[in-house]
Amino acid sequence: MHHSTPIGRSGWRRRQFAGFTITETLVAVAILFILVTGIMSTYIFSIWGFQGITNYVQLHVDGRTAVNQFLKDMRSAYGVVSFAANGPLVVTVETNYINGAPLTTTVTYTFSSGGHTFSRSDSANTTLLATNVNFATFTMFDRSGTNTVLTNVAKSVQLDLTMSNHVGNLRQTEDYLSARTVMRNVP
Amino acid sequence: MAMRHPISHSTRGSILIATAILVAIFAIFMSGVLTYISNEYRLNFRSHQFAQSLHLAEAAVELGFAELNYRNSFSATNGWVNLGDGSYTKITNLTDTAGNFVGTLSNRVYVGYTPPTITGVGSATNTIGTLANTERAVSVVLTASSLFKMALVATSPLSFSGNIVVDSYDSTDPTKSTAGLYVAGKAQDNGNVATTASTVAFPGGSANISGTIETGAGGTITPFSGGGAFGPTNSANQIAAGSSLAPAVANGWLRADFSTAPPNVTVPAALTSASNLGTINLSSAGTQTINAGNWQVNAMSIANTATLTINGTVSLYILGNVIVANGGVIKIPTGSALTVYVGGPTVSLTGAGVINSVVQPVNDEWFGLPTLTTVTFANGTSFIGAFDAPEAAISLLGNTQVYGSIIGSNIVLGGSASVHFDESLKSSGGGGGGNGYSIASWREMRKVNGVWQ
Repeated sequence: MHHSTPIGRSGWRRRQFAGFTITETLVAVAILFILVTGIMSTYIFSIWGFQGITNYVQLHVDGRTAVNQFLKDMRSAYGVVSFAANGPLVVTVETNYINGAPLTTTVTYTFSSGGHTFSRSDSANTTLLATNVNFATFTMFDRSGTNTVLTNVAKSVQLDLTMSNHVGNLRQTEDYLSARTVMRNVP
Repeated sequence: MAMRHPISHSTRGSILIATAILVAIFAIFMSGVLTYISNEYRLNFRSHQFAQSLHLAEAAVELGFAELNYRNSFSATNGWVNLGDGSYTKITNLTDTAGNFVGTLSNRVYVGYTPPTITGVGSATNTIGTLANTERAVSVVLTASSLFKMALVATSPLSFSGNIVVDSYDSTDPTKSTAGLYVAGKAQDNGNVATTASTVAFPGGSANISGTIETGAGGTITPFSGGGAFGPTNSANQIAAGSSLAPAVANGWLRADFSTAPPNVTVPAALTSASNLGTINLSSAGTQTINAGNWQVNAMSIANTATLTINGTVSLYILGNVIVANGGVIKIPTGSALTVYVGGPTVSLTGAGVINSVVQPVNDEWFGLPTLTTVTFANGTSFIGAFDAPEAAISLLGNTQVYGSIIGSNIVLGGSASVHFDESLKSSGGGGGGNGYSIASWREMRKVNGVWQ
């Protein structure tokens, strides 16, 4: 059944071309505002999330690279020359073995608390192994596995790295790496 | 009647767009999470592979090391391939307990090289994506292992009194010796002593052990109040009797982890069937020369300025006692070497004893079978050599000077006896040979242009 309004044909046209009421406009703006805010929030959250993931992966890669280099040197080390818990750590590392004797070089691992860097230097180069390093701690152990600060009884060395990065002003990503190895050339 | 107004086309489009946007945002978010998880997985997997490949490389070295030390046949039956340049190689594929392929280890043992070297390459197999296998390599340089690694090794408690001195030198290093001989001014701090027993005593006197002291598990020095000292002489921190032992423990100069009893001596096959020279009984300035070769002797007695001369590289299996006394002497001229296996119960080297003109202890090695129970150095004898008699009570009396190493059951030092350990014994292959090899150097290699260096 068809119902017609009492308004005439011209009335339909007026209603059809009439503007929004102030209430409708306000509601529409509010909905739009909420919608845009939600979208923008989600977008920013996603960007931050991606940045955090990127930072974390980068920290992890840097940290592992640093730790792997450290372990490689320590395994070939003939002993610790000097030691401080927060560095520098100085070790004698074999580079080759020729004519019945090892060729060695002195390698120094340094942590800069101001620059937040962890670096390695030998007689030829200084290499920045990792940035965004908050803490780097060295620990020595004797052959029975007991913690020691004496270089002449040190048989294994441990490195602890704490790294972090920021997204905006927030410290959002953090990584902690730790590795210990036996110095195989130490009797 | 309730009226149902149909949703306009534009409104339905808005819902579709909004849904698409939300799905897109969710997809972006999820892709981030998945990327993170994927990266983390790959990173951990590669790290695991990286560590695993080093373990495989070290396993490859161990494989070569075991073959060299215990079988030394490098036979094709056992999978070894002779590369024709004095080296052998073997490739082994490993699977885990579930049958999954883990990786490959390959090695190359340079037997004919000086010094012998082993390189091991480990390849951890990649099982995800298209990542390459992880490879790492290790190179170890070997040195002949020696039975004589310390100044004194005993299986009974050690006691240091009187004016005993134990220190070290190196007959092959002119900075640590003069013309191959010990001089006090070049003495070193490696006069290490060890016993599998639980106690070492300093009952009195002024004994000085320039080296470390090792006891059996739970052992210590007791008493440590009468007199004497131990630890590195060159350090101002040598531990004097009456002092706390804590610094010595902290510095590793006193340890309680020595548990390796010296192995019993057995006669080499070449000597069990060697010609017998009968009994050597020299006195009244008598002389005799033994030429190069393997010989058996029933018993030996050299006294009253008599001289037994060793000519060349001589190995003796003496079935009975050995007595050198009253000016009698065994001479080892330059260019000669003496190895003695004693089956009798007694060895007594007094007075002139053995004159080793070669000066290096590795050229004068004595081994006591389990039947040798008493060894005496006395009357100012000066012995440049190494003595291994794990079942014997060994006495170093008077002003006896030993330049080398002593291994025995119960070692007694008295008066002003001294033992100066020759550090070159550690790498000389001393101990009658056949002691295999130990590792002198360990180094991880790097790959340059496809070649491990």
